[in-house]
Amino acid sequence: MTDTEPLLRAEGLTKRFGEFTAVDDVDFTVQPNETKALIGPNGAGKTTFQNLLTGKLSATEGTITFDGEDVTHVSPHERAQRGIIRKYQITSVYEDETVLENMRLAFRSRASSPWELLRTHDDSDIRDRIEELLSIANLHDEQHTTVGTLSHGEKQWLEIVMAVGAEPELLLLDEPTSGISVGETDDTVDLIEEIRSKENVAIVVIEHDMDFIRKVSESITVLDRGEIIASGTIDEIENDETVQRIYLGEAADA
Amino acid sequence: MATADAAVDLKTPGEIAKLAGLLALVALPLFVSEYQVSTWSTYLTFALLALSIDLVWGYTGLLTLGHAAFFGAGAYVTAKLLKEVPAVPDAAVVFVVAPAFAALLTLGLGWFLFSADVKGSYFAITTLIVSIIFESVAGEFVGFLGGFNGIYGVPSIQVVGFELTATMSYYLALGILVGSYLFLRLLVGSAFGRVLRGIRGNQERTEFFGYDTQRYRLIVFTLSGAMAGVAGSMYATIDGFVSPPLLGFVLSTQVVIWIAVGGRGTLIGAVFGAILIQYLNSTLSDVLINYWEMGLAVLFIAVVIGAPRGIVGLLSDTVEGVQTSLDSANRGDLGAGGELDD
Repeated sequence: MTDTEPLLRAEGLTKRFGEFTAVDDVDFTVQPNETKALIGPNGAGKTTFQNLLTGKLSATEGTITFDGEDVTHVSPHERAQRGIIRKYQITSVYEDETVLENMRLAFRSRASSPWELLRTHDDSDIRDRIEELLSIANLHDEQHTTVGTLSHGEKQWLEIVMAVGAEPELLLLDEPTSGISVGETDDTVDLIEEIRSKENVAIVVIEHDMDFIRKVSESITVLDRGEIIASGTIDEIENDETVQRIYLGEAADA
Repeated sequence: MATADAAVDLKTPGEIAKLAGLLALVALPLFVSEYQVSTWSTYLTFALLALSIDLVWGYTGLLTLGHAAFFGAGAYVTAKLLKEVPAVPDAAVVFVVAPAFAALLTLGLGWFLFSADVKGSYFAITTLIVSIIFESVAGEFVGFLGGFNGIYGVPSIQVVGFELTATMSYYLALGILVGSYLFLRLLVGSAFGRVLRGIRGNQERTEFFGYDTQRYRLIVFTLSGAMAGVAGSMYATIDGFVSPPLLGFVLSTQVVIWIAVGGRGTLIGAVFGAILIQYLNSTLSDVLINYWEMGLAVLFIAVVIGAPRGIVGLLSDTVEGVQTSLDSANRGDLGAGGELDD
């Protein structure tokens, strides 16, 4: 931990749906360039928490500060413009377009008005950067492939590098290994490692897979029933009795 | 770079076919009567309406079933001004007042619908209802808008005291159509057009990459409304008669069928479908009478099932297939030649 102002600070963040409290008084900070993992059993409120950060849902109580500014009531596209970019749990790409068109769309998203884009007919300025990111996602030879025909893992990687192309300061990865094979999971680890080493970006990974988390993140926060019950290094978390009982124990039983 | 691309483009079968079609339209007045020239002029104004809908539906994925409302609004405002307010120059009515009036309507409606994030079938139904309301309202205002009888005797466009002939109006309509087509082609080919396809493919994903999709949808809907307004305005000056059905849902949905048959999201498919079906309608409905309607229904179903990308999509797939097989045949020849050279 450093003394610098965190990139993201959520304070007392709460989301209620009627009687049900999905996220309960959560304090959470992310430092610039830090990689954090958020874990918790199903229904712990991980995705709701992410939806609060990106603005898909508005908070019932609490504040979100990003880059020193209060963004609690800022619209989703404006938050993305400021650098909060998400990858969805269920892969969310443009199935009918080519890999290259998908990348170009993501790359033009920051700091361009509709009027600038109307005059933009040439993509040579972003070509090298697109090729670089497609290479680290092993998709360089698939540039002209329609995305709908890619494998599930390839779509996951594409969405991750698209999100990187949107120049995030904070990248939210919701279950980047969901529904993909073990071999592909190793490739996802490599991809995230590449991004961490090359890009200036903080990452929050939401995952179930502890082996995966061990490989990509040092710092873990555990969420259960909307509340943070523990945070620390992976060893601290694995030795935490509450966590073992609530989360890891359940996983072991299952 | 861009010019090189354009030069290559002109040699593709698709571009050659478009140029041939344009030449046929340019030559048309030489071969048909003046009455038929006027009929073809109205085809062109409806083709412009189809083009404006294709931008909204084909590219942005918003199915509008009420665009005739904006076409009719342009037609009515033109009829009123040309007949009763001669002080306003006709060109200003067609190119400024009519599109501005229709654009204001789409801007207002769009702002209301997009800020509530109305989309999908809700968007289609709401726009359909707007069209029905416009049609009924025009039918009610007997004194001001002529009620169900509409407004007769709308004069042709006059430029500095000189009235355009039917043929001149035809070329003006053709010029507006071609100009609009080329402009939209630039638009959909730009990074802006890519955002529209992004909204069509996955609106939320596009929003969360940082695009203000509400603003994009509003811009496109308003632009499309302005084009529909010009189309309706031209129609009023050519046909000389406007009536409530010009605003109504029958026309609104008909044009969507023309686009589906021609090929949605291709621009040229909207123009082609609009002209083709109107032409078939006028020639075949006399011969086949009621069977024509059935024939059109069968054609529509056949296209939706057999060629979801419309006739233009079917043709371009076929040409692409032929080219691919030719290319591979050529590669085979070259490969053989290369071996011989070695």
